[in-house]
Amino acid sequence: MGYGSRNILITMIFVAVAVIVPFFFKDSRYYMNLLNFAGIFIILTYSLNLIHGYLGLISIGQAGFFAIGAYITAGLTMGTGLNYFPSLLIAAIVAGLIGAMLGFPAARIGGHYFVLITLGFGEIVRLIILNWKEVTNGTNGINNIPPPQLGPLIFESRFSYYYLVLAFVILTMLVTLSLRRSKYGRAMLSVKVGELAANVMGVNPLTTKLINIGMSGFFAGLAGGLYASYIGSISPEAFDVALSIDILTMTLVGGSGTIAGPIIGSIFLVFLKEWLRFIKEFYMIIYGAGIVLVMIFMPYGIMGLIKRISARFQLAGGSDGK
Amino acid sequence: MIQEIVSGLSMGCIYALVGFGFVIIYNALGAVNFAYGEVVMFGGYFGLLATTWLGLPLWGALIFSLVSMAALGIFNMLFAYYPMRHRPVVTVIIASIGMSILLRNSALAIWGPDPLKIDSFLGDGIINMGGVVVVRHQLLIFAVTALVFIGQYFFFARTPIGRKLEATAQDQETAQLMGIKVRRMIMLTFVMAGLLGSIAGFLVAPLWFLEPDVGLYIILKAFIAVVIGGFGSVPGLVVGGLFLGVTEVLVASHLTSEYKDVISFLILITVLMVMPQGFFGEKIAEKV
Repeated sequence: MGYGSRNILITMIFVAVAVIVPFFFKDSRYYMNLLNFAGIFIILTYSLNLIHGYLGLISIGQAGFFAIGAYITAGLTMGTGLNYFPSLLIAAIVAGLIGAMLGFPAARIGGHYFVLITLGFGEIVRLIILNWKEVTNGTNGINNIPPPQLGPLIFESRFSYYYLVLAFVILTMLVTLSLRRSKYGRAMLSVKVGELAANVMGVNPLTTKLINIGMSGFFAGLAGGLYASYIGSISPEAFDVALSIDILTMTLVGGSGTIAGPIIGSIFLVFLKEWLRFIKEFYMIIYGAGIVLVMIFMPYGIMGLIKRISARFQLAGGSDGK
Repeated sequence: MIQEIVSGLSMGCIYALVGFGFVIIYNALGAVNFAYGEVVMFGGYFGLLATTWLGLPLWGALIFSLVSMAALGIFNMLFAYYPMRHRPVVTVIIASIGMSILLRNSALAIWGPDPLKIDSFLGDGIINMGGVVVVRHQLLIFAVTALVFIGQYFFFARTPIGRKLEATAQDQETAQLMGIKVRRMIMLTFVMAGLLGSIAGFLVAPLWFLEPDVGLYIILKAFIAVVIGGFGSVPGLVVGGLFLGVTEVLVASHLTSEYKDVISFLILITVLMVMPQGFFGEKIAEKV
């Protein structure tokens, strides 16, 4: 895991490219749409990257946080007339608190139990939004969610929304980067490597896990709020297990625990999915087989592959210790 | 009330059967296998394929399904486990998620999204037992479950091959040193789990209908049963399965049917937090 100037360089290159790219696609509603989705998925992938990269756990319940963020944001802006941005913040905080609550069982149990707990959590959220018709409007969902408004600015076009999403992507990246330098980030990594040893060194595994999963919930909730007002209408089927698995795949294909991994994984899969759309149901079959093949041939994702290749070119330069 | 309990117990038997297949793979690999729900579902679908497309009678379909699921088990092992056996457990778990997506969507492509049904060996009839109406299929479920669990006891405790499997599950390296062919034992485990999946598929299909998402629900319920009972414990998973089946039916008929699954998941999370070792299990905190 690189540390310091190199990651900051990657971040700056990404920001520069991301700011310029939309100008080439300004007139294509299709590509602007894909770019916006890629941005929302990047935030989601970072949220899982926190759990998987820092704690070594897998969550297949990110769709649950995403749904909470989406529904609360929509509910607050439409129900109470609160401005979008405070609504988004509240929604993300609620998702974060619920995430922290999932940290309690996570602190007591091993890895595969956590996978199933998160799977159960995602399903609970989906079943509640499906059945609590008075609040969530059931299968019909919530429609006509207004676009975000900040003073005179209204983020209505896909082009303007892109920069809103980008701002939150950068925020997510900055938090992830600074986490790595902070004592909490190091505590998380020590828990990942060896919980008992970390405990002996004075790290409290429980608080560490609470903070980590809470942050993950926060960012996934944030992505949900961005999604809700971008797409304008939300309904339960958008938040099923398949979404959580997509996020997991993006994290793994990109390369978990790296700063560039989530970006590469999300963009790669959002576009791949779109381009493979013509083969319809066979797409998901290939997708499943693809996950297995990725695990067999490149368990550390595209970033792992890049690192391996670059290591072959510069055998002497061993500064990039993981 | 008694009627509800009977139908809850029959559902619980299925959870226990699926949970058992899930646990023998877990014991052999040390990793949760997410694709197992789909194996159960395919067990049912292959029975359906045999009766509708090949025109086989029901027992012929069962044999067809058993053989196919044994083969699917071997495929599962060779593709989604064996290449990764020296990697971290996480890799194996994710590969099994990939396998589960592959199987679920294959089912969707072959059979479509509509729920399909296979007939029960005992038909749709009911029996009145002293005022309690029991569906004949439920009696079949009870009988098969009892046979499987009694059979597995003798198999693992009394036969040489069962003991070899047990030894492999406990410690692969030591088993290898003792001259046990570990690879063959793991393959056998997958085959046995496949056979169990096929049986469970035939038992569940007349009750729940077959649809591509059914595997996910089965594996979740079986997992809850396994956790309630205590991970890895066979008596535990039977008790856990029956407890979950009965609770579900009672919740659905007296409290809420829409939130029945929510309650099941809450039971799961509560058990994991309050008594993670379940009813019968050993302590499950991470080993050092």
